Amino acid sequence: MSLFNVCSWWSAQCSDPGEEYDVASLLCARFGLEAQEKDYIIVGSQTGQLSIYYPHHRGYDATDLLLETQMAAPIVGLYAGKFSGTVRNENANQLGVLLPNAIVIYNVLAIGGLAEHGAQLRLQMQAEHKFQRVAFGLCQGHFGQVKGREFFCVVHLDGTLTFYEQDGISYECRFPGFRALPAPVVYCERTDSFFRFSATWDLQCYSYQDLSHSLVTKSSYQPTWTQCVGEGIVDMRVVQVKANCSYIMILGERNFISLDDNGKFNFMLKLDYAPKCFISFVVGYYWEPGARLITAIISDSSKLHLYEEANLIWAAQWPNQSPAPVAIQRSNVHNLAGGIVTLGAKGQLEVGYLGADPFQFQVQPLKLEELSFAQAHKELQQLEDEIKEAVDVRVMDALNQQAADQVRLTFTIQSEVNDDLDTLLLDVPADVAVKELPSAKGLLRCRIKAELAELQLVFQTPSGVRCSQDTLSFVDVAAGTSHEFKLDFYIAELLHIHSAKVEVIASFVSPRGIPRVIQQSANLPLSMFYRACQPQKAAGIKLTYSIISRHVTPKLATFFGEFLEEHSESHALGLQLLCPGLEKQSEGITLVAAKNSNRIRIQSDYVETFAMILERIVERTLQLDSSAGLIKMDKKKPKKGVLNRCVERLIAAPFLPVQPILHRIDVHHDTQQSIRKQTDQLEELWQQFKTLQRNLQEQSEGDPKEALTMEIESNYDQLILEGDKLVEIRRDERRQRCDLNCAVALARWIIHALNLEERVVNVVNSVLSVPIEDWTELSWEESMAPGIDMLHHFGPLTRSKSTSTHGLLDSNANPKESFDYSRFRRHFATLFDRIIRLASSPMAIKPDDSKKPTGEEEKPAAEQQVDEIGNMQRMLGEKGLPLGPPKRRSNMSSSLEAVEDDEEYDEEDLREDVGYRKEYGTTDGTHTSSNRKNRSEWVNEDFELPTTEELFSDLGIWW
Amino acid sequence: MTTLATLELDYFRAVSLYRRRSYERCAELCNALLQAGHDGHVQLFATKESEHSQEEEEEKAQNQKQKLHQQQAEHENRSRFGSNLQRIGPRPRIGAGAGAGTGAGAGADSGASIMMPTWLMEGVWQLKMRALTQRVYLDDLEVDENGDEAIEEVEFERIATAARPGSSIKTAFQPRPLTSQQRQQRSRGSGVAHSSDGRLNSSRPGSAAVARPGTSLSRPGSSMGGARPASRCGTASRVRATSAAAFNVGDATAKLYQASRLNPTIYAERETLVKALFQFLFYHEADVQKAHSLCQAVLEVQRQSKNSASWWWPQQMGRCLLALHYPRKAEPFLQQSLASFPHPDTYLLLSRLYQRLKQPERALVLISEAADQRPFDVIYRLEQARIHQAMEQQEESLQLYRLVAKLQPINIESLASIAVGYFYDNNPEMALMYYRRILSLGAHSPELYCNIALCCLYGGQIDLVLPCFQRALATSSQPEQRADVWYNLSFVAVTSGDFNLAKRCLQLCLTSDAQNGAALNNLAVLAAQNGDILGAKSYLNAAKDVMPEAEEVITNLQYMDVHYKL
Repeated sequence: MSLFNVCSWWSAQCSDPGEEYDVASLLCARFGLEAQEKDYIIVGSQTGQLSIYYPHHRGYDATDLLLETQMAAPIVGLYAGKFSGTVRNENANQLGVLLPNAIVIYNVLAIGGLAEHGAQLRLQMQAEHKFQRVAFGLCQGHFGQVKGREFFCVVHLDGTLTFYEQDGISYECRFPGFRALPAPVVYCERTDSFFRFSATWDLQCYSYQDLSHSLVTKSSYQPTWTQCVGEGIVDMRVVQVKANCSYIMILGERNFISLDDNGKFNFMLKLDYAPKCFISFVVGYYWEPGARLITAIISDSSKLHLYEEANLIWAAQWPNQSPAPVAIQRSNVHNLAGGIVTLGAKGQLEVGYLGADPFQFQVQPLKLEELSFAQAHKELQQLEDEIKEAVDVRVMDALNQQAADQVRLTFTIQSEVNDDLDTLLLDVPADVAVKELPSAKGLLRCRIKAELAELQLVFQTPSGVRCSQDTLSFVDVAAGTSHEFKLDFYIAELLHIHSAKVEVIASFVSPRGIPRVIQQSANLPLSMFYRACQPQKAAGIKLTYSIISRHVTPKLATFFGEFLEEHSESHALGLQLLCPGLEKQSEGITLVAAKNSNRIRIQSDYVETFAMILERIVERTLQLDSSAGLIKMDKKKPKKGVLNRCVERLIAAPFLPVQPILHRIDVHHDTQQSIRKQTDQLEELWQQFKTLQRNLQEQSEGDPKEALTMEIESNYDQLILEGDKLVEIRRDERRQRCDLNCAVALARWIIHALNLEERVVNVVNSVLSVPIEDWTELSWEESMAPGIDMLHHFGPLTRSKSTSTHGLLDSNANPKESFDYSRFRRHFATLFDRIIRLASSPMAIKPDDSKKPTGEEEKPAAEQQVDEIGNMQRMLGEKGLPLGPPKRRSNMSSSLEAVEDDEEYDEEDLREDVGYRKEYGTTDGTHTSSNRKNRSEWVNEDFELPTTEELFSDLGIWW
Repeated sequence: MTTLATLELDYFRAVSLYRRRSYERCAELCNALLQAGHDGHVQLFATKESEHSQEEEEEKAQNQKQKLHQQQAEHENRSRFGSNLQRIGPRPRIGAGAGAGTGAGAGADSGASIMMPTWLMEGVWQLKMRALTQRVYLDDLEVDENGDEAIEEVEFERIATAARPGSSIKTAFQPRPLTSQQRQQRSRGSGVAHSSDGRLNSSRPGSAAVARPGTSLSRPGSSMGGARPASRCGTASRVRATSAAAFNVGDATAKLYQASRLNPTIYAERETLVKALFQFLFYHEADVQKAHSLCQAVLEVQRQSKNSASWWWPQQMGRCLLALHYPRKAEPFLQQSLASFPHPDTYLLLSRLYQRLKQPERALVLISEAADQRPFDVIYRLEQARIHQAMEQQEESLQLYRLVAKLQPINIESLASIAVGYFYDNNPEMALMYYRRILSLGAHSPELYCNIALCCLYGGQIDLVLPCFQRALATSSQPEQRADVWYNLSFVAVTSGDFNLAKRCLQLCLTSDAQNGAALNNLAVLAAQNGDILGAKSYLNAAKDVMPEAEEVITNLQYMDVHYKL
């Protein structure tokens, strides 16, 4: 702090080392035993240990301890004064020991030491006053300005005072007002009054006269003055600073306050530390000029602050006093005048002085050992691990693995369906409830291995299906907890459902704020959605999958265990949707497995029936195959020119029901349009309504209002009507969205198993993501347009040679302005068309797939169609069923014919689909390699604009 | 068997613990007592205050009667409270027992011994409440404002120095010396901040580093380790509330302190309790709304009874309203309080209020009024300096800080502010001197070491840089502190040209504090320098999420937009 410091001069540990000392346990006083007497230090603990020390010189010596005795009760306080009138010696003080239920006055007697034993003290009990209430403190003084004698009064815990004025005579009295928490009471001799801290946090002054008068007459009395201190107090003292003035020094909990004895605030100093104890004293004599009022305050962090009045004059950190002392006294001990005596809560007694021993803040030396390589490496590794764990997102697999370790999810759905769903409890709408659709039961087990700050579980079901639990949130999850949830999955809306997959997403935040997400999925049994029925022979849409994997037996029972027994040899299965969009017609789908080949044919008139069936076939095949474990379907970055790995397991015939899908899009688009129209209309009506209302308000008092009111009413009715219509259309829209979901999902699952380059499949499938989404500002078509456009111009499916496509990109960036539905539809159709063409092109055909016909792009599909149909005919023919004509054929070719392209390329380009990929593949390769070489250069050196090529290579998009 | 005397003695011990600031142990002892009282079915506050005093009158009469009794027939036991002097102390006291234990007392003893008197129960209740309040008390004048400002004007450097409201101990001691100054510095051309601005035209990295000196050292007693009682680690209300709640777990008597069940109008008339209750609500429960309604109720009672209003309640009313963000409503209350008594808190509250109303001049006038009355009181000088600083008047503010340092050489806030002033003035050596002075005052915090290290770095004393950071790391306990240290270490790395190391440091900063926007921004710059444009972009976006109004992030994003088509 400063050059000066509190230096320890003498210190001792009192006999009881427990935390048994407080501010009243320390007393510095003289007893008048000898002529050149200095202060004795008396310490009394709350276990009843009383010790008297008399420091002689620097450093503790055994002879400094003059008395050590054990009281029968805890020592509540120690006081010295002329408590007895029967002592001859004028200078003699008695020691008053306050016990909980008595005050004992002792005469202190000295016994001269023989030889070097040193002197001793002995206590001679002079008087004992007992009382019933437990004491809190004592207030002494020349009450009534009596000379030569000191009276005292005991302050009890319950606020009563017991006065002892003459030997053996006592009164009990109370201050008026409410009982406060026990607080010290002090006496000011100059004005002969008591100061008391009241329950309302006021300082009250009572004159002794009133008090003593009330003792006699039992009359009530009022404080002489009251001042609001406004905070709790730590301690309070009275100091006479001038002949005509005493100060009351109050150490509050936050402020240091001084009042004079007339109740005028002297100062109020806001302390910026937590004060613990204080002492105020006058340097010099109060009757002489130049007396200085000094206050020493010890803060809770063991800092000593010295104030003259309210100004800080000195401050020092106590070197080895922590925690801070609980009591401080200034005392003239032998050989040291004006020593600072402090007592710690555990009985550490110390006498110090303000010395010129500069307090150097000693910084603990860091243990800087010579770092060994191994050590340094270990530490570095630790830090690296920390980084990896929290922020490094480059190794996503490891992160996900770790996340999955932290929260282990086991999510299963039973493959049996139940009928005992409590539709009331789960709030299933009535129109669904009457159908008594089956429901499925699931179980989620969640074991948490690491402590988490937040955990949220979300169940993601396809629209129409609902889960009995929606979202679960946990806060402050302890490690090692586990939860188990029983779930019900049921159909809540009569919609076409596009997927049987249910996902659980667990997102959690660790206590350090690191977020992680993991997800798990399970499939709902198809029997929730279909029921078995008679197979149909003919259908509008026919799809074929060839199961190539050796680990999958191409039987229907493999895929549709819900409907067929395990070893059933049945080759045909009819399924019917349980919850069709329309009541009247039943939407059925027929599955036929070829007897002698590995093909499965799926046929139906309805696009909506396919999605879940295809999902089941593709996923089950892949799953069975990978569990057999031959080909790993891991997530490697797709390389150029690699075939869709799915094809090694199963392959779909290159056919997409383009027209029905486009039809769904058309319907959806129309509905979107009508919604917009309807909203516009509503807006218009609403404007009208507002205008009319305004007219009504503006109309003067006298005019008739009937006409206007009627107009408003009719307008309002219309508004409601149109609003209802909008609601209706929105409901339609929802249904159509689900239909479209099914249609897009159908396309996805076909493309998934098409004989294409893997990256093409990935890109196209990511563009055709389900479920589709309509935003208020942007319909699905509009949001899709840029993606489709992108594929159209830049994707692997294009063959435009112009690479200066930057401007094009930009112009497409804002689809809202330039959205052209017909263009979008055309592109969509072309996209499908190209996919089919690519998939059936010779280049993509695998060598072992001899069954696949080769030839010109138009032919193979047709041939295959014929071939398939032939198979089908044979199959069905054996069963003796008649064969329907191949309906879709003309349709399919017409869809191809219908494709026309406008600007970028002509029909010629479309047809040479063999050449382009090679060409682009090579240029692409050079691009990447050159990119890799000069990648950092171009950024670092001159911040040139990267070309679009470079950007796209970064984006992972190629052309 | 517990007797009244032992209960009273326990009460005394609790009070004694309270006096020596052992609030935790005091509360524990109170719990035991309350439990005992609860078991004995003692009714708390069953009587109204008026009856209460009546009851006391009665009691007094009774006492006096007893005294007469006592005088007449000594050593007779009281009829109401059993006394068993044999059991008072830890060990039996023969002398006293001989006095009390005579014949007549025995019968009364067994009957009344378990009963705890209501006044004792109430006293214990109040004592515990006070202890709980004191345990978590922090001066709201130091705390609130930081939280408010962080919310109100989301100052960049404040967030950059990890001052999320209520997050750590640092929040309470937020760097006053930093605000606004920094902005000025930034515009003055990043003299110190030359480091990695480079490419992306970002002034952020440099200035953020420079923001660090002075961190958390500003407030007196701040970050001095033990300057405040260790138990009061909770700072802003959120932390405070949680710490308080945690303390109540497993405490059977906790339901006696449920603030939510408290009816202000009932308690408003209990003068003895209501002030303590207010502080409990305001500081411990951090339920300002409730405290405010209590204030209202009390003022209403006072108005009805035409009591002369003291300064206390209007001040608390103003405090509440200010905390609730109604500065205009708070003003008349504070003025009223100030008119009746010039309490320092009232001055400071009013000054804060005017600052919040964007009238710093008025605050300045008010404070200088107070300062004129008490020219040597550093509180007002500091406030003046802070206002000047908020008004971006660096010269005046530094002048005042120098004055404070003269008046009170141990005032760390002023020393740290002067140091920061020097630092920004391209005078790291002088700043270092001041920081060393603070160090010699016994401050020993990671932030201080961090600042010293930065001064050394820019002052060319390279050999001290890493040891200082090492110390800072070794002493940091809060994740935010660690984050800050790593963040600043990244500047050492940048200065020495080791971008890889810088990146690691920033990543380590993020491991401790994933929301550190400055670190994210700088990582973006480094990533861009490495050629990872997409990475840079995503870092910038993350930074923008964390600090939506940060200039640097916005500038960088704009730069990206202009120069890279993505």
